[in-house]
Amino acid sequence: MDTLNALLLGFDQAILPTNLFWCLIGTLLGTLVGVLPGLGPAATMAILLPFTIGLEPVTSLIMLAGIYYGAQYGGSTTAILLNLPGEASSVVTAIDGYKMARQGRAGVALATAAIGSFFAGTVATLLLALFAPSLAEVGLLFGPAEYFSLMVLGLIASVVLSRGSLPKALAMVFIGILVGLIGQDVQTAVPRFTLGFEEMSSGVNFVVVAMGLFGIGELIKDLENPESRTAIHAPFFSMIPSREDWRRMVAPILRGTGIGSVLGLLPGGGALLAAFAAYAIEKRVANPPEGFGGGAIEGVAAPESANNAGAQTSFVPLLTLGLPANAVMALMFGALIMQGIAPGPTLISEHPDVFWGVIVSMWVGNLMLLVLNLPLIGIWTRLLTMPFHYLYPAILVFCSIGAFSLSNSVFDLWLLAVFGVAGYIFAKLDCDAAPLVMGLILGPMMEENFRRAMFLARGNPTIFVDRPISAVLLALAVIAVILVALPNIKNVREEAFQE
Amino acid sequence: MTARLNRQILAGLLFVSIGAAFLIGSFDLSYGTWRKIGPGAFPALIAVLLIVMGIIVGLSARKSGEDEAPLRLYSSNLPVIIGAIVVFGLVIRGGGLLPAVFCCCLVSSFASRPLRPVKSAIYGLALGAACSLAFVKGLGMPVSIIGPWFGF
Repeated sequence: MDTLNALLLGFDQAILPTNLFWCLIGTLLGTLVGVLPGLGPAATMAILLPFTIGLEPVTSLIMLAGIYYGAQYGGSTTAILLNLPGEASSVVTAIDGYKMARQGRAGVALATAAIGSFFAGTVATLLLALFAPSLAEVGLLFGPAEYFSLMVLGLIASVVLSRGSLPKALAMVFIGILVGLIGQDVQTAVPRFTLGFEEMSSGVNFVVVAMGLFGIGELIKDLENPESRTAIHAPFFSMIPSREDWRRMVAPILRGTGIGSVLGLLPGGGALLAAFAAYAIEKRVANPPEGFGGGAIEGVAAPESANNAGAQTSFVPLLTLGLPANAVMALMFGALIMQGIAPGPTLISEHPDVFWGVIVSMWVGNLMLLVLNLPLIGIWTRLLTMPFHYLYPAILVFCSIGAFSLSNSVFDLWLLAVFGVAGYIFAKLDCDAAPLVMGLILGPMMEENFRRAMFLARGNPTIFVDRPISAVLLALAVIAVILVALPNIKNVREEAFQE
Repeated sequence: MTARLNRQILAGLLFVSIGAAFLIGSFDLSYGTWRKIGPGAFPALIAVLLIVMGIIVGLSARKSGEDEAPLRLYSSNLPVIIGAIVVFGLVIRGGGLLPAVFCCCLVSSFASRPLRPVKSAIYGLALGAACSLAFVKGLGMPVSIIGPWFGF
């Protein structure tokens, strides 16, 4: 009953005309940028984040959440139509989705993705509403030592579950933490690593870092290998799935939703892991006549449901414990802080309107995607085939305006240039920038909690293992690292991330 | 010699130097005591960890095969794109949003082939006008559309 009342409170927020309007703008912009080449959800969020800051906290979060699923949806669209997954979590969608498109069933594939996503989104929203409050109560028991250990676990898990080499990803986390520590020390007000720049005393804005690393770095790299983008000009209007299609998509959508909802909750989880796992399981369970990889509708329905469910439930650790599970959630975290709201266990009780408003608007955003984006597919595909030399100046201009508008400071533009170069170099050296952003956001909080815990323990570092919850969290982190370092598991992990 | 510079070694070197830079920077800060940890201690710890990771990454290079594609670090697009951002930064205050967007577009067009200066200029103007309308008029961004350089 409480949950119901709370959801109603959320509805009151979500259906306010301004919130509906910005939710719509968010989903549209998210899809728009999401279908553009090379820009995944993290880049999309980073580029569009500055434009949400002037809004009310609830409204801005609603818009950001809209941008997030819009970008996800845009990624699936490019995966199906172009065999170019706009983001990692649509990689598996591309396998069967693109085949379906080649067989003239692009419309059905897109519709399946949208329907699966909507269903998964609805279920995940309900799960979020049911379980988030109790998780937040657990979070209230946490002291500084537990928080420090939780963040260690969160960072380690996000690294373990990402692709690429573990030492590199860890190194990127450390760089992120160090960059995050730039600026005035909170406790002593001593400026740290500012190189004497007055502008750096308040720290390096995370939006500028994310924009430089994800947006500008990718852009320069994309300019190097201009791929020819030819979208499939199949008759798009055959979007309505046949009775047979409906029958075949029900079970995969249910399975995908279940898998995605669970995996999204894990620290380091989220959409990517969910999609891969759902596809792998579907391969074992279902037996489509075409076979997987030959245009099976199951191969679209399951991962698309899973990635949306995972995307949604990965809000749970963020909103209840203040722990972002992946880079996109880390950006959300930063946006909350910029709005003056501290994500964590007290969020639900202190800002119930924000919490429930955002949860309900996620569902509303999914509905908007379903209703609006399917008819707009024609426009998105035209955008897809737009030559890159028209697109990149616009992306560049948006990044510049966004960085400048953060605090009306030209200095942020110089930082954007610096991190753009850094992003390019990291991309060249096969270093994923996502762990860096995680470290950037979590670093200052880790330090803060570390120092507080040490103070409370009168300088005894064993506090982190003496307190049971903290010890368990740290043990989990250590186990995760050991598991990945073991040769057997290492091979499995590498295989899992190969298409 | 250059053939040996593969991604792993370069990445390792990069990590070690960034770690070293922060470690040296932390020497100026107080490390405090165990009970009252100073502003320098945590960064120093992380910087040391970064250096260790850098060494691990660099050392693991030899084991990995030579099947990687040759690494070309420099790209002629890099200075163009970065230059476009810098030009935007130089123009925005004095020139205003419209000229800044225009210049940013124009500079960035040097990264596309074939180069079409007239088309790029027109595109830049249109984009500038659209941005001015959306951000200054629409979202109320506190910046002039045409700035003091032009006598406004």
